[in-house]
Amino acid sequence: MKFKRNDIILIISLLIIAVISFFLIQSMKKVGGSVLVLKNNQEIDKFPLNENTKKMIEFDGQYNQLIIQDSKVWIESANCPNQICVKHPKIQYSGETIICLPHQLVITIVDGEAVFDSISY
Amino acid sequence: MKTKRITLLAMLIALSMVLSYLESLLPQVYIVPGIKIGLANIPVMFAIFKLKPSDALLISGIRIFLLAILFRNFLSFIFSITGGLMSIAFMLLFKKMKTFSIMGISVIGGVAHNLGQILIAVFVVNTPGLLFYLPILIIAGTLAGIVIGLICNLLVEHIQLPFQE
Repeated sequence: MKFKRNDIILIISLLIIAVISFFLIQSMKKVGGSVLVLKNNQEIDKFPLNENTKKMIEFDGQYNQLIIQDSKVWIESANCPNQICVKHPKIQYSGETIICLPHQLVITIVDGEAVFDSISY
Repeated sequence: MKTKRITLLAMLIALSMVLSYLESLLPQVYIVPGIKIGLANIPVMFAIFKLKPSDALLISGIRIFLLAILFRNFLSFIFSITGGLMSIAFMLLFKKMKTFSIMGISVIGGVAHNLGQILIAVFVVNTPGLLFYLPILIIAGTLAGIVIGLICNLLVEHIQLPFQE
């Protein structure tokens, strides 16, 4: 094996950069306010994060079962091929996202007050 | 001479496709989407160190194209090709600079691949929040690069080409 000292320096500095930015991001995380649902980059739904909600998001037979509970958000089940959205850990902070690429679906948390539609007023 | 080259490239492409398949059988570590070792990059790195840069591009490009039309869809093609090109570009650049050995270049390739994928993902789904994944993807790319680097170091040392480049 013939490795250079530079390799070790590179590996260590990459790991240090990653760890520092990880903690920077963690410390900047804010509690979210509402949950946005986007399909093809278009907002189709919005829920308050602090209200327990179950919502079946369905288009042309493609479904994702969205759950909001105890201010945490996750996808309970979906019929997408890779199931990445289902395996994704629960999200709760502003800016965190669950994406279902096969269904072009984005669930993201934004901060601020939850917006109610005109009927709930 | 030419026939030998075509045959060698064809075998390396076939090998990298089989490695892609083998890798899909491995249990996945699930922390953030897209973490993998990248076994299919072993033939590509072999080409970078033993053959020409264009051969590395060919192997990677044809593998991604074939996998996309056989098993995947257009979107996953875009993701793979961005990561693949980014990683090869950086590896070739740093190989020219001679600052790092195979190990370092492999690590750069792994990290560049993940950087490319996260950037295209932010662009495609229009979600800057994906950058939260970046620290974990840098660590994953580094670790994957170390593993692939160890393997490639052995291969490049011990495999002799049947002809002179």
